[in-house]
Amino acid sequence: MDSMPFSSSDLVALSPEIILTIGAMVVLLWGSFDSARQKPGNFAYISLASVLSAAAALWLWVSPLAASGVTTAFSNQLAVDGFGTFFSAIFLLTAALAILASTRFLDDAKAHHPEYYFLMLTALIGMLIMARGADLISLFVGLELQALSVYVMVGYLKGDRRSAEGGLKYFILGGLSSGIFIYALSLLYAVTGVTALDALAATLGDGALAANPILMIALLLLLVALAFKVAAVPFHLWAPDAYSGAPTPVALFISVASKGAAFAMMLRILYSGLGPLAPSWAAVLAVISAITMTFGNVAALSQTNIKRMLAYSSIAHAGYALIGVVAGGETGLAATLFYLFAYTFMNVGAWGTIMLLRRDGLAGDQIDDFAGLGQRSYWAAGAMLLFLLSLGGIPPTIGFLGKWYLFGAAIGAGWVWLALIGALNAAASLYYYLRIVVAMLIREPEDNVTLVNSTPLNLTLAISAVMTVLGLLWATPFLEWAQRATLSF
Amino acid sequence: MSGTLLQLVVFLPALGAIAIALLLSKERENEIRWVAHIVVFVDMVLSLFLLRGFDFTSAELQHVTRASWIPTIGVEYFMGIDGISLLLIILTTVLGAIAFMSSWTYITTRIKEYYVFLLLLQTGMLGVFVSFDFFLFYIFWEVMLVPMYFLIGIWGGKNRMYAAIKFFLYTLFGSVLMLLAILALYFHMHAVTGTWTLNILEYYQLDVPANLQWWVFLGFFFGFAIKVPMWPFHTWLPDAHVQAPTAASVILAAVLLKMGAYGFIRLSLPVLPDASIDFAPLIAVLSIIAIIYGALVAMMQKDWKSLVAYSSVSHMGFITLGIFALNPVGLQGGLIQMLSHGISTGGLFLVVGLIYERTHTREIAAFSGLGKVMPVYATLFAIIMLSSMGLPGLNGFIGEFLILVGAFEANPVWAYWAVWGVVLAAAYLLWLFQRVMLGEVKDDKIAGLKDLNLRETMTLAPLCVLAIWMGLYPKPILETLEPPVNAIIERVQPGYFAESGISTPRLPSVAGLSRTAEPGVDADLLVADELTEQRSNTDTANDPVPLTTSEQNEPTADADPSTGGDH
Repeated sequence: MDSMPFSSSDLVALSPEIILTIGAMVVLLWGSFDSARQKPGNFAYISLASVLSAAAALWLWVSPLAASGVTTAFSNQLAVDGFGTFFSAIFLLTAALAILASTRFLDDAKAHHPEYYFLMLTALIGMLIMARGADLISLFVGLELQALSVYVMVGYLKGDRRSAEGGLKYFILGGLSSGIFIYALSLLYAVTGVTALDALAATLGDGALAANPILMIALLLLLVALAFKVAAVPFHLWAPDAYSGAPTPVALFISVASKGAAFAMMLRILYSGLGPLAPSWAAVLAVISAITMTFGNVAALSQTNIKRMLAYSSIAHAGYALIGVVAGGETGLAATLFYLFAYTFMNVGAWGTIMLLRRDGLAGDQIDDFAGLGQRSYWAAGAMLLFLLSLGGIPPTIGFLGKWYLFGAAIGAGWVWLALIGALNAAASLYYYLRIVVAMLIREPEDNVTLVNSTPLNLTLAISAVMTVLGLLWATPFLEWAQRATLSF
Repeated sequence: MSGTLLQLVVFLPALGAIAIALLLSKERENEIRWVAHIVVFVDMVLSLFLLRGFDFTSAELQHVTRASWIPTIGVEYFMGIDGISLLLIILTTVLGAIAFMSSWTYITTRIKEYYVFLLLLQTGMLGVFVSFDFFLFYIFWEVMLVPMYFLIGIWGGKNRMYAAIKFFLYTLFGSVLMLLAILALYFHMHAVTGTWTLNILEYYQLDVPANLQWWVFLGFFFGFAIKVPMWPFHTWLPDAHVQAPTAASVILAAVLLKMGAYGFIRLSLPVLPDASIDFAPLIAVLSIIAIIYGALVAMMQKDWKSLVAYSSVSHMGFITLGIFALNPVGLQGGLIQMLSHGISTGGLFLVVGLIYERTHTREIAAFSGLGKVMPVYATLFAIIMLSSMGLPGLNGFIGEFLILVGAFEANPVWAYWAVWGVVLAAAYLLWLFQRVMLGEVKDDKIAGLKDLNLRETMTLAPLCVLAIWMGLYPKPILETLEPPVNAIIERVQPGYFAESGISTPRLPSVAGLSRTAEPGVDADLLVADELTEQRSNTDTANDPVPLTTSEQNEPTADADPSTGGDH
């Protein structure tokens, strides 16, 4: 056994990533043969099949492996635990919904299909590793794999200036933050001499290093880099341009999955590796959380472009999700996890609905384009109403339960002022969500806006809408899932 | 299962809304109208059936439905009613039916959406009055905002968007503060008892430390005071009322404003008794300011509907004053006034709506001598106006009189100032009546107005009948309110009834659920019930103030022969 670099259980642990890699290779290779003769829909099917197979592997192989007592794989590089499974499942689900939402969009934009799905799958592999890495090195590899794929996806529409601009900005600022991140990791390694998260926690646990100035600098840089990745203020500047410039299905994918992956990595590093330093980072994150949600909401108030509005709204939501990270403990963590789960459906739904709209033959991205949607399609308007109420935390939606749980966790942990700021922000955010509602349901339709339906996109919206309500009415399994996932630390 | 009827009353309007949304296309306007009206009338009749077999001598919850919902965080699906809820439900269904009738010709655009939202609103409001789990309560509390927002925003007047957003955001800011207060209580409950529960009845047994009571009270206060609305949080109300279509105005005044007062009675007083006592003077002063300020501003209004809206601020001031007199007379008066205000102010908004539909103006100066042209209209208006004024023999008098007595008992100065509100109400209402109804018929336009048709008469006449009935024979209502009111006062001011020797019922408790005549308690929850029963027993044992009277009362309840068999 010693001569083998890995065992068979390692391969089982990595099976979702392996399946996705195979799927990505098939898409890329098949796509490079004379793509003119092929039906573009096939690439979506292959990608979807590999995503679903990866999900099945996660459920049938990885979960039992974790239950059987295996905690890590590949010499402590990969964690095998409920936390990793929880986030992996969210990313796979988001990818599946994003693939369904992309097909018609790519057709209309006359974009190449194979590379698009290849990038989405490689990004997904990176995300899974970000959620499951047990070592700073593997986490960084996952982060870069994810980031490099996503930079290209944002700039995927080469002819569109805003897409190219968004991609470039994202690349430059993302590269900068990755640099800060790896610098922080090297400082951490210099102080502690280890890169594995559990070893890091053990080294920091005895308190001997508590006053080490280099450790504090490393922690600060690490927090800056993580704040970049989750688009927290004041490190959010790339997000509005990247989200609004990106092709809409890409914005859907990255605003949910990339953000979720950044959160997963943040939670993993902070709780698993830097848990002993919690008092230091919690205070910093509390301030970042308060500024992030307030700034995100204030900036969203004045937007007329719906993609920019949702970009700022997603900044605000990162602020909410941070509340649970600050509150900590089982409840705080579970609250953040559940919130990210809830956010998946409401945000995918909101971005998906934008894709229905088309003005003068171009993708509609203004609030005005929503005018009279209710009179064209009750279903689309009703679903969007649900997503917006959920984003604003109004019942009967999953977003309401998510906010309830987050604010509760904050109050329970004594962060009352943070809960207060969060709650006031949630109320204020309704102001701009309601602007879309007003356009949809109160204003009269405009002639030059048309609806572009496609069955896969409708499926995405239907799944999101059902889950937005079901997540409250039948919340127990999802809540318990999130709570179990927190037991990994 | 006695809980089934209540479930039906609450959810029938929502089912109707779903049926209309899915089954009827928007062109079939008359069918939509008929279905909506049938649903809301059937709901009203069903709500009257709640009276059958209702134990009016008990403060315990009846028509209970209880099931586990999200056990991980202690959320239950828990509905039931006591006397207070019962009356407010009937108010909601009756005024709802009248509001529906008033819209038959008033609303001409987007009929389908209109009735869907109106029906959803009914369910939202009814849900608030029956929910005894904080989570469920909060859900209904918020859900209610959405249809009302659309009713104002789509079918309102010129500034409807502004009014609708203002209404929504104002109430939402109050609600989220209330949410934080609930969460603070929730974690305190966990710290003390080790259980996660949001069952409101459990909180009736909880002794919250004074410091926390203050903060929680403040959170609740913002939530409820904005909804009432109390001065100085009232500014959304005139905007919302003036812009809203008649039916929405009626429902807003008659039911939605009652939510705030209901919250004070149901949550602030019994859960936070000490803070209620501490805050009572502040709230009384705010109430008196509302009474006098609202009346004075009403007098200055040139717009008929704003006059009614400000009179509403004034009358709601009486209600909060009565509640925070913190004695049975005042609280009972406050509750009676809640019903009365629903009838009178709902009626006044109907009266404005009827004339607006005919003339498309609400300017008081535009009218004169309407009484000669529209005698039926004038008569019904006169009765409703007098009831709103508090003329003895009509409903307004009972409520205001009891409130003033209660306020006098608490602090004579409060009563002295509040009584000016009655005088001013007479002034602005009589002056209004004189300007629009009496005098010479001004021009041909007014001379050509048609008097009320049968449908229109049927919206106002029942209110007049109710006003007279409540004014002449309020005894059944007072008796219905007495047990829950006494239970709340006993909780806020323990020993209040000791001297008078009245046996006071205790607040409803989880343990008491199994003792009510027809328990709708699910079998799987009984174990949990027993646990809480044990805990509430220990709570009582630790209680520094002995509840002598109630303990004397308890054995009889325990010995109730109808308990055992149902399990």
